[in-house]
Amino acid sequence: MNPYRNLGSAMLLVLTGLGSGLMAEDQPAAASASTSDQLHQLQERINALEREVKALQAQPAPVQNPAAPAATAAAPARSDPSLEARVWKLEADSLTDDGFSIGGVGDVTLTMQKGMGYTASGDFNPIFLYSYKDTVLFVAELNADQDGVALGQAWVAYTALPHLVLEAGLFPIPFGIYSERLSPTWINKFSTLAPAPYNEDYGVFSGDQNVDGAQVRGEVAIANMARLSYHIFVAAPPTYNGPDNADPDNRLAFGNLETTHVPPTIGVRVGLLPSPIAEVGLSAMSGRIINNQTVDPTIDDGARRSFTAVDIDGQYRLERIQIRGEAVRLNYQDPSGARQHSQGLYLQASRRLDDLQGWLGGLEPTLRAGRMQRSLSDNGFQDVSEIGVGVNYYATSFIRTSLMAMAASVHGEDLLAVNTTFTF
Amino acid sequence: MYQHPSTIIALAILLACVLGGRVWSADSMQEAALGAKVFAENCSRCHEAPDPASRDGRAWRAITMHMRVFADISREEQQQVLRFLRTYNTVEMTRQAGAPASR
Repeated sequence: MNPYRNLGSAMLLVLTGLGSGLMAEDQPAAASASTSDQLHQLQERINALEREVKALQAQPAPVQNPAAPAATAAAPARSDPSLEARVWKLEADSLTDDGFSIGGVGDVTLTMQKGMGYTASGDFNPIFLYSYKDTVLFVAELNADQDGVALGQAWVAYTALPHLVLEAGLFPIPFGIYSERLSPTWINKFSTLAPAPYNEDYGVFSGDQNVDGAQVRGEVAIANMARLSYHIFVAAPPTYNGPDNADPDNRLAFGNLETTHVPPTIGVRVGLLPSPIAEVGLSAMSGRIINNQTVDPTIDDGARRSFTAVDIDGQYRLERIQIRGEAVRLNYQDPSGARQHSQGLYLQASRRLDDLQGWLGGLEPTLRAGRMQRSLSDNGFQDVSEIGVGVNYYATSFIRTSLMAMAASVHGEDLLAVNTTFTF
Repeated sequence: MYQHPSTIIALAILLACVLGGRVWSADSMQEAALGAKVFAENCSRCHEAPDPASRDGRAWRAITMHMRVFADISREEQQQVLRFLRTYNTVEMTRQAGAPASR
């Protein structure tokens, strides 16, 4: 008698009832809708596997060698020795073991910008992760492009308590949701194109938003499905325009790694997640500015220049449509001490067409609108509106090609770009 | 034909048990079923859900620890996701081998 037949029948009854009862209590209708796509794919896989199970059940039971040890006799024949090793690795899933991963992301982009011709660029960012037991995580990321190799991230996190993590090093600033989580090329629905408040040429800040510092972070459950996340961080102060000071507009740039006695930036973000498909966050930070435009380096007038920034972010999944938005406001003093401000916002919607059959299911139309306003040191004022449309195509779960068109109200910012991003 | 997600998840765990040729504890099965839900919901909050078969257990431990810190999932949810990934991959590898596994 096939030993799997009765076991399968009994387990089917038990588990179907178990699963239904288990999930019915806390499965909101909205969450079911958001996961139904992936679960539908899983169901198709299950159907195929079920057919294979029936085929296996129809086969006669293997004849055991009475002379062989029991453990050996019970083991099925395997033709692939590497399978044993892979299964063994997967079974060692205890949190008390260490973990290690080398992955990353690479991308190539061809940009056609109005009045500037064609530009080709590429990035390759390997990411190293190491977790020690259940408490320590080390993360490092390198950013390699045509200009060289730079350290993108390097931080260590220590889980001191179930809802409290201490983190230190060079990490994405937890100010708003784009800077910390949505800016990587493979996550950003417009791949290399940042939304208006983070635009490379006219955004609120200049450059990447990775900071050298420390933070306390964590999450707590506040109701059935609802959670509250928090970040409190201390970071190296920003400079005007970054180390090269190439931008004449005196925008603030984080990421300073040089020694300074200017007091650090202090900030906080609080996020509310009423359900897995919704999140709202409020961020604020304040501090002094390193005045790298000071003519006399013995004068530390950076200690007298200050800034304050606030941010409201949110994302929500409406059926199959992912909606994201953010609004940022920055008040600061320019190198002369004059008060300036800048503010920007964007709203973005994307929809993966995975309810369609064939290659159409890999498409994802995306729409984004944004606006950026900024006072300038020469008493001028910049007001930029932009709108972008794009379509992503997911060839596999790790390769995405994007076609993007962006129109802006300032000269020279209209562009058309093609990007291919892969993760490994 | 639409089936309730919990039924699908339960069937997935069932297949893993049948194909694996072993009886896993009810706690483990519940944890894996919850892990499938956590995996589907929390990954897609920010990005496309990765292929569960794309990494081995050691890599998934580091990646889920990263998400525990970075995406604010709890220790229990991390354990559930790991349990789901193990179950999913056991089914996949057993299918590819064409024979039931029994570790």
